Amino acid sequence: MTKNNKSVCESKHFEMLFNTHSTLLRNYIYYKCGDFNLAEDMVQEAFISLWNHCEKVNYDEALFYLKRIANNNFLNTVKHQKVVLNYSKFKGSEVNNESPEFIYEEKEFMKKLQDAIAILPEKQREVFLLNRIDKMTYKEIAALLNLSVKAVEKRMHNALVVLREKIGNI
Amino acid sequence: METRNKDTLLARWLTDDLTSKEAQDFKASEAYHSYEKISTYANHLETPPYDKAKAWKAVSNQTVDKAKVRPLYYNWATGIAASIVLLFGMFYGLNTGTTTHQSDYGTQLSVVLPDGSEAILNANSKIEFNTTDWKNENRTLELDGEAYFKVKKGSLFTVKTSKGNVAVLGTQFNVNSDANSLEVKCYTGKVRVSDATNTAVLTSGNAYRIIDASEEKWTFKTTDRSWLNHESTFYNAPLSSVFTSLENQFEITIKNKNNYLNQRFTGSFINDDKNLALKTVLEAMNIGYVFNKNNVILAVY
Repeated sequence: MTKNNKSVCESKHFEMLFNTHSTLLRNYIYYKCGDFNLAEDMVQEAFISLWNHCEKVNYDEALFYLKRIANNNFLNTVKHQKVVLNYSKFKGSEVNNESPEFIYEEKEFMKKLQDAIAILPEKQREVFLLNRIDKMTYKEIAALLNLSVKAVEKRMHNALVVLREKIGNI
Repeated sequence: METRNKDTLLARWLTDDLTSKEAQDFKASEAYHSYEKISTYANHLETPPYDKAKAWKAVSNQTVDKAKVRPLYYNWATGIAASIVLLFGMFYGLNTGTTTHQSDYGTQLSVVLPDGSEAILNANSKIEFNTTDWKNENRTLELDGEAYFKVKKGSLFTVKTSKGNVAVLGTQFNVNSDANSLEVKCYTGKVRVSDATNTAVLTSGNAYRIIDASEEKWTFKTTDRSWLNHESTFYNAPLSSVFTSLENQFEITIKNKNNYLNQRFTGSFINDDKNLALKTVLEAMNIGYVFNKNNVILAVY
């Protein structure tokens, strides 16, 4: 069990961290605020901060550090901004040759789902989307958010319950 | 046991982590179909596209690439920076916090402003701003000459010129001002131009000119070549502006221009061939001239 003692201050390690984590970090902030330009600015600032404090951050803990910085900046700047999410691109269903009515229904459902996700409590939304879109396991999410796995599972469960309530009869 | 885990049931169902009893009961329940539909559809959700390479470029510029250069000039740069500060201190009074950037004849100068916005100065142009104001979110600068601005999103960004002000929130635009006229071209976003009497809002591809007291508007292609590509382009511009631009670009003096100031010029000249540029403008305008050392003497009629 050789613990990673790569230095974050080395450019190639730093670049590696960027490649591994930037998309996830950007999505995570996006799930919170619904503004991807802002999310990308936050990611940029977080990485610049990481670079400036590279001696103090352990390579393995970099993601957690980045998330904390992005989160703090996020809270500082846009705490009260209204969250409007716009999830795009339903890639087509498993069955493509359906009747127009069915396709219409599908679209309607997708819209309802997106609206419901947009009004989910932030904590449930981030867990739900990190799992569904970024395919993170509950364990990984727990590490990122500094929670127990059990707590993540609860948020996930509640997210589904709320979504079903909001969407109504289906 | 069962009741204790009920509050995570749906989460565990998604990861196939239910006991066979739980799974059986859940599949028989009324809600099962709904949850399955939500789960299937949620798998089709996507985030807006993310340009990772571009993001890396922005980050590396301010981190790894920056660090590579630092050791080379660090020592003497501090010295020079100190003397520059001292010089400005002497010229502008000790605690005004005013910063000035001035480009030379025939050269461009790229300046990064305190908020990370960028100004590219065309030849013989000057910007001046107060760093203390900028720290307080008051993004105001004074321009004398011509510059292209890439403005980061944020508070109001104002360019003051002798003829009027240009205010934006976050965009790319070009400002050219001299004693007689102010010309603004908006490349992206929105720009507001105002002087004592007029106000205009420009969107992408719109250009606007205040000359003496009258205003002119036209459209241009944002992809057209400009002085940033070492080509100076004019649309129905007063010859006075064209002359100023030639003088700044080539460090020459144009004499006897008073007869021609009110004529208009449409066209462009390249910024790296003095003779060709003079020929392009003056022959097109049918103006005879003699070019001697750094003086261009126009024919008097």
